[in-house]
Amino acid sequence: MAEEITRRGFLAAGAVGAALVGVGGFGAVTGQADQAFVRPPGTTSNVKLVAACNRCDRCLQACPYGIITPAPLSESIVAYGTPTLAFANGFCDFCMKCVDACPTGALSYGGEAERDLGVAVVVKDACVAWDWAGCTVCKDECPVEGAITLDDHDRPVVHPDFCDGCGKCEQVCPSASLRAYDASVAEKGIVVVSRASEAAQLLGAVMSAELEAGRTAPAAQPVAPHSKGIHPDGPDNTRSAEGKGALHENA
Amino acid sequence: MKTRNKTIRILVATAVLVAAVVCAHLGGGAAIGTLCALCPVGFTQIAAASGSIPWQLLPGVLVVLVVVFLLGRAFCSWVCPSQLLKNIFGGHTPRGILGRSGKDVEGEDALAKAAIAEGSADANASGSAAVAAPAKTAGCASCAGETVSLKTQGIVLAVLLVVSFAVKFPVFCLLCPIGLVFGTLWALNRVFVLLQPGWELIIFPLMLLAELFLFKRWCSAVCPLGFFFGLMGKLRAKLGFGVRPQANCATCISREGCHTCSTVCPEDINVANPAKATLESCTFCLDCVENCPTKSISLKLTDPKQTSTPNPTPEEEPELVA
Repeated sequence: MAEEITRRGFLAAGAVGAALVGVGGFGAVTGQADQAFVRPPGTTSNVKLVAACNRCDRCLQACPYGIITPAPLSESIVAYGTPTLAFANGFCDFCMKCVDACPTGALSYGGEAERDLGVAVVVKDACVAWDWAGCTVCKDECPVEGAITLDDHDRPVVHPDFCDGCGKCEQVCPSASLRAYDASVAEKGIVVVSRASEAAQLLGAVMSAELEAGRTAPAAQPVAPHSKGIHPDGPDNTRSAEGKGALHENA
Repeated sequence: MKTRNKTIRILVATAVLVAAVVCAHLGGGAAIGTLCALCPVGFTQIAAASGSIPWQLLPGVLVVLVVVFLLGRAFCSWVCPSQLLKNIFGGHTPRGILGRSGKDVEGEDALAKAAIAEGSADANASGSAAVAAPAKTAGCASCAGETVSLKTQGIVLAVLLVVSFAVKFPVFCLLCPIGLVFGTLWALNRVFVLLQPGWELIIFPLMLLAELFLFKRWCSAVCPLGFFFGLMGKLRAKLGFGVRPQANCATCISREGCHTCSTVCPEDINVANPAKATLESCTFCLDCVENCPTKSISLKLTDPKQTSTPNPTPEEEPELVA
């Protein structure tokens, strides 16, 4: 049966087609898919997550700690609704329930960064140990031996080859509660950022402004995933950086 | 003013959304966006964007297509959140950029006939009217015109797949009215449950408004989900299988010039004339059943070839909705 394309129908389809090309072009020009968010475990890369995620929020639902939050529209139009991690109320113990819940394979086992969320950076002007003295909460609470050590002045130093970005330090950092509120200073004295971000490239401690500028800006070359360090939690109770895939063959 | 039929449709679609939100909060593993995992468009789009086929989505998508094959496009009338919005905020039966195309059919009838005679380009513009006009004069057993634009929907689908493939992210999800409804629900959830207000609470409803009310051709000409449903509809029509509303020739007064059913039909189906169009594009809104002046229309499971004989004896199926 011959189908007719009505003029109105064609106009409507053309307008939507143009809108699609416009949104796609906007995404391609701004490179928002590259934005370096802290992603749940099992993320291969920001670009691949944005491509494969259907924004169904099942990972968010599956997370027992409520740390997964969809990227807001104000931060990224392209990556809107894709899962990011916020460590204000909890940290990741790599239970991998989000990966199990993902129906599209956007979060999946086996990648290089399967158990590597990012790396913690110390914020100079927010960290109590830098600003003043005496606070060692992040070092004390860090579940990975060797990821945070203290320097000569008892200030925390993060070792990217040990840190897996679980967020425990960010969760427990008492900085905001120990300081007078200042909007220009980060709320936490230690913050997890994506290894693909500019902020992760800055060695040593950073200023709040630097953190803000480089937090999701993609770097040319991401920092290599951690190669040492053992996280004592998770379904296998222990997890070393080596043999990442092997541990989860049956999952 | 809402008809009783429309009120029922509003209630059903609202119940589905409420159920989705409640499930999300009970933590039954069914997040607000779970229905997105069933979307055939989402499936193809993610396959195009990520360059790999998301096999885990496939069973759900196939189930949806099988259900559409069995029940037709009932989703469009009864479940689709964008249709719900149209039902709540729209007019009686909003269609066409210029208003109800049913009115156009009546108004342009003479024009359409003239256009056929002349074979001019005007016939394309009032395509539905042109096909409807001879059908009406021919009486109870001729073919009705098809107005669901599989072609334009297909164009939209092709464009969205190409763009998704090129820019490597699912583009249409940012425009899809169904997705925007769920996005708005999620934004509300964020504001009132997580206390994190976001721009999406303002932007998404505005986009919905633009798409549904400035752009009333969405369902018939744009919706790529409708393309998949339309394909299943074509299969239904080809096999001549399925439930559809059908007029009883004994009491139908279409020969006397009544075409209330095709006027109220949001798909412009001439229900009085049993044809493949009913199987293909009927969404079971049941407006024709409700509005028929002689109550001649009911849901039946019949073969179109049987009914096109002079004295059909279609076996009566119980009506799904009284």
